[in-house]
Amino acid sequence: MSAAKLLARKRARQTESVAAEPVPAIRKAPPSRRAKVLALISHGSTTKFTALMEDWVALLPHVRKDCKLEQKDRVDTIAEVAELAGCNRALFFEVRKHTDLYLWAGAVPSGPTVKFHVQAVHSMDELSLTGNCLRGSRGIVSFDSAFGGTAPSHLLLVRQVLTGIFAVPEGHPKSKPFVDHVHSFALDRLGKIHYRHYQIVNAQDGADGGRRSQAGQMLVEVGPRCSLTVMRIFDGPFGGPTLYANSGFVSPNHVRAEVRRRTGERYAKKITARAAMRKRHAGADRRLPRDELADVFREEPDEHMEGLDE
Amino acid sequence: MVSIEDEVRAQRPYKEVNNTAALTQRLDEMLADNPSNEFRDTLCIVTTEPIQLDDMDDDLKRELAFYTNAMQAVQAAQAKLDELGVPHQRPDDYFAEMVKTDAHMARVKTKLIKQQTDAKEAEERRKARDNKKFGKQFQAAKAVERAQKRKASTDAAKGLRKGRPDAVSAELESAAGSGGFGGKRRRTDTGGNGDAGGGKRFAPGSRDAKEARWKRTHKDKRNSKESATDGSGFNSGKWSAPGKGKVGAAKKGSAKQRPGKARRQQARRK
Repeated sequence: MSAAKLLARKRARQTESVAAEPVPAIRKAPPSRRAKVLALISHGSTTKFTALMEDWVALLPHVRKDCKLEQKDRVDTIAEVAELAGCNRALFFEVRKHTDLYLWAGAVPSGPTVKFHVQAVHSMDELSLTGNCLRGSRGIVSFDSAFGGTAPSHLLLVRQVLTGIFAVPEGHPKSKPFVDHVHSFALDRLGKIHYRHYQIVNAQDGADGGRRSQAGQMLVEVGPRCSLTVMRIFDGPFGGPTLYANSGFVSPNHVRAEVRRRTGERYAKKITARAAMRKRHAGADRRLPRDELADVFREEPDEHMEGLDE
Repeated sequence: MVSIEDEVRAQRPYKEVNNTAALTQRLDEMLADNPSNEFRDTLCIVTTEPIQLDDMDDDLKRELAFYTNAMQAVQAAQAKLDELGVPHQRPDDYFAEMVKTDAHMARVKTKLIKQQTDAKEAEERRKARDNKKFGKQFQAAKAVERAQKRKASTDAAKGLRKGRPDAVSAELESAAGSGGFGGKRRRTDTGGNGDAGGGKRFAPGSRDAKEARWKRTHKDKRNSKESATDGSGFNSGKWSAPGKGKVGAAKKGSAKQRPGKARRQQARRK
């Protein structure tokens, strides 16, 4: 086929698709809808946790990254920083001991704030997942039915806070008016909220494989992944009275201490066993009982033979 | 099974706080405060079904549960958007920057390809190993078959010899003996078959050839009981002063001792 023909065909296809689906007009958001979210991380973070934040910053066009928070700074200064930056939500990634990640998600300036413990963190870069989505497109925020109408009030509040952060307002200046990915939050029986992020592949998109729905959509995971456990809900912005504290939460410090204690127990057992052994070896236990037949074959002067010699 | 987490939870329970009234009030305030709480603005969907998770440790099942739940939400959301008349699908010819860069996607691709090829190669290796295993059995069966054939032909030749002149029977015998019935000609040690390395070569399948394969080709590096006490290789005179040791003494007396340099040069000039 000649190049001219190819070009003509390509043009025809382009005009067709444009005719079929016009680029949606961007509805300009009023200032109230131009919500911004401040994201910042504490000093002493590892690359893994930083990568999680970077991923979310890349996925959510209305998130604005701020510089790291010093250890000496108090958490409640974040509310001030967010207000100064014109944000009405804030995400704070608190890393402790280079191993534990706590996520503070709060509404500014009035609160409330939810503090999560984040586990099973896997960044986009680390997971080799084939999904991809537009930078700046809006994502669906999906919750499973555990967050629905009859759910306990703390879960409803958590849903509101998470929606406020993960929902890109329509017409946000930095967003694109397409919906091609979904943030999914699912609650398991242990009270952990699992976060997954998928690309939506529609029926006409040519990707093969995977399970398609009846309407022909398919999801391809993009990453990142993590699981969140609600620790506490505070009334104020990054502090204030506790409205909810999760009794099912287990501190990672306590888990580590328990593991260490068990290891220590093993050592203590070994030491006591060794002491007992030494005592046994040194003491009376070691002597063998007297053998009654010990001198049966012992040579003794024979009176009869002596008599013969003489 | 009780996990460590469960044990710790039982040992040091956290004090539960659940101020439902305050939580509900807060929730109402948030909903009232937020002007953009319509579906159009948040794209928030709560599915009608909980995730089906019986076994949290089964990765595939867990991911499938999340997938089906998210899929349900996507369908609901797209239906709602269509209802509201909000276009949401990206046109085919709309190209823009993606979250993952091309380099990142290429890296993912190479990684996946490598995984596939690795799996394929492992499968091939396994097959080859199986072939080798069964190949040995096949070879053994073939050797037995060949021996039977040879025996049968020899017997036939013997039967023929009875009624034939000597010349013919000799010919047949030689044919049978040299394995003229499909097998390779057996090489004998005297037939000049010693190779350059000096090792013996045997007809394949013969017992000797097998033994040769089992034998070590070189000495063991470590001492055995015998070799440790064996002093036969020790040359006491080798490093001793000339005249003292055996070798030195012999050298001095022998006629074959090498002449000095001057003498050698002189001899060359002649």
